[in-house]
Amino acid sequence: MGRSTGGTGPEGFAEFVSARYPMLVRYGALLVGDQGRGEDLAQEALVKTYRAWRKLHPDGDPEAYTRRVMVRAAWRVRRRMWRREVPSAALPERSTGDPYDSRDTAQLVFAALRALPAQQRVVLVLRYWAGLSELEIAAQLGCSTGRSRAAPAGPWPRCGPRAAHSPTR
Amino acid sequence: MTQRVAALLDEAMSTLEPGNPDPVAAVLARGRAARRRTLGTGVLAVAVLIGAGVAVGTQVGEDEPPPLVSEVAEPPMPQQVGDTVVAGGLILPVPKGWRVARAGLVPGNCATGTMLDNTILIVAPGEGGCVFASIEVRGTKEVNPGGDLASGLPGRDDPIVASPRTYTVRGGEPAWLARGVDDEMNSPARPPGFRYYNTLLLPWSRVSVTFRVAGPDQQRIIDSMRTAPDRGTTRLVLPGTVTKANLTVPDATGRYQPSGYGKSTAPATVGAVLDLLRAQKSVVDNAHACASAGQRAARLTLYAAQPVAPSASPTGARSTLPALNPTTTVIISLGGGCQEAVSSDGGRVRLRDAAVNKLKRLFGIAG
Repeated sequence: MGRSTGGTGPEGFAEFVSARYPMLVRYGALLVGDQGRGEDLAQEALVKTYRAWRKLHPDGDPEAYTRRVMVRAAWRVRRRMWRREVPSAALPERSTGDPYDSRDTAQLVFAALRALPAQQRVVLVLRYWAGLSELEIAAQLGCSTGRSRAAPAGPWPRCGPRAAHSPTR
Repeated sequence: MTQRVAALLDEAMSTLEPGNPDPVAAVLARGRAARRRTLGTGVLAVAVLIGAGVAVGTQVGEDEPPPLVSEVAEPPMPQQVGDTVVAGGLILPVPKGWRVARAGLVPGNCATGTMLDNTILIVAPGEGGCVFASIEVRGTKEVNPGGDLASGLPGRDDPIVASPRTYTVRGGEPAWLARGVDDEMNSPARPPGFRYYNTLLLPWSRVSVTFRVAGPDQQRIIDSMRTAPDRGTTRLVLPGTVTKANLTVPDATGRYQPSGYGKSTAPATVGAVLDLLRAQKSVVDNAHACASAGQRAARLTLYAAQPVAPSASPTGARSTLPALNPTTTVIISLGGGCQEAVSSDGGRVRLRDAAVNKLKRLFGIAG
């Protein structure tokens, strides 16, 4: 029984997804603090990229567009249904000396990310991992520059959210 | 500090691999599902007016025939790949400090007790394992799940076997655990030296994982697994002809009662069961599967009329495997907003309450 691919979409889309999917999933995992939900976020964003593909290919930047969709979705996470789900990646029952405990620093990092409010987490990732400036973060989120001046740990106003995503050329 | 935070984030994300092996298909399926939902908003009102429901899942075409059990895949040979054990679609990370051993290469014998603690033993199909290995991963021809005999049900010809706990392993492949991790037999409070035993079956991969650790450890090992299934997007794969069928349904508290068991050899009844299952077209793809261990599950066993012939090997040589036990198991996870039926031979569909109730009625089980 073969895997159903259900087609490959418009020209270039399958190649783009195949090449960039792992990186987008990792990026999504950082943005939401969980691999499973990060993959979900990446797929949802890719659906939007798929719909905008004619404007993005071959002259646009589909990855930048996808990342921006992901960032904005992660920023709005409180309004999304799946925000209600309780993260399950944290292992509640741990005994000392278990080999799985020491498996990665990754679990600790993701647990720390999950402990942050969604918007602080997004800003932290954009600033410290993506290395974006305040101006660039504001542009990603669709905020004014002044609003992005706050430190990642500080309170963040609501901004950017419902604006339609316009594909970047 | 900036560099330190960046390094930690880098390290964390570098450990991740996507769970979905076919992202293009998953994205396109998501897009189609979203489009259907949008259309469905309008259609729903009409559907309600005419008394029809709107099915959830991927509806396949009316003219597409339901799949049959036509051949049996060879069980896979588990292998160590880096710091994982790979068998069929299963990828099992090796805990740090553990080792992986081939069953045939284990020095001496297993009677030395603790030598296989913290060991994942990989076992070739047909080979014996070792009763002291903490985890065994083996390819298996047997894709019908184990389970406890339901006790306290006297006067029956056939033993009633409880349903396994249903899991959806990360990546989407279904798995059936013979006994719940919270079962008394898996309690970590058992005295030192207690020999734990449980099996997790991944029927589509034809892989069996034996656990000889306590329930919480079993759960964590299962949580660490991921799968890259090559099935799951079809309707239920079922035998062409069935001579006998039985159904076991736990009560609302999860207990098994005589009234929750039915069997039939009547051609009309067995045929109706097959027709009902074949009519289910709401296929659940790997990205949307949701069966979980917290759900009750019904067990449907179908005894095929003819032995199932083994397939040719990948090299083209005819297999020497004997014909298999012609049994197909369908496990139905019940309620919880996730009512899925999974066939041991492939295929997964979402079931409405009406279908489950009809199935129960066919076996004389009260709704």
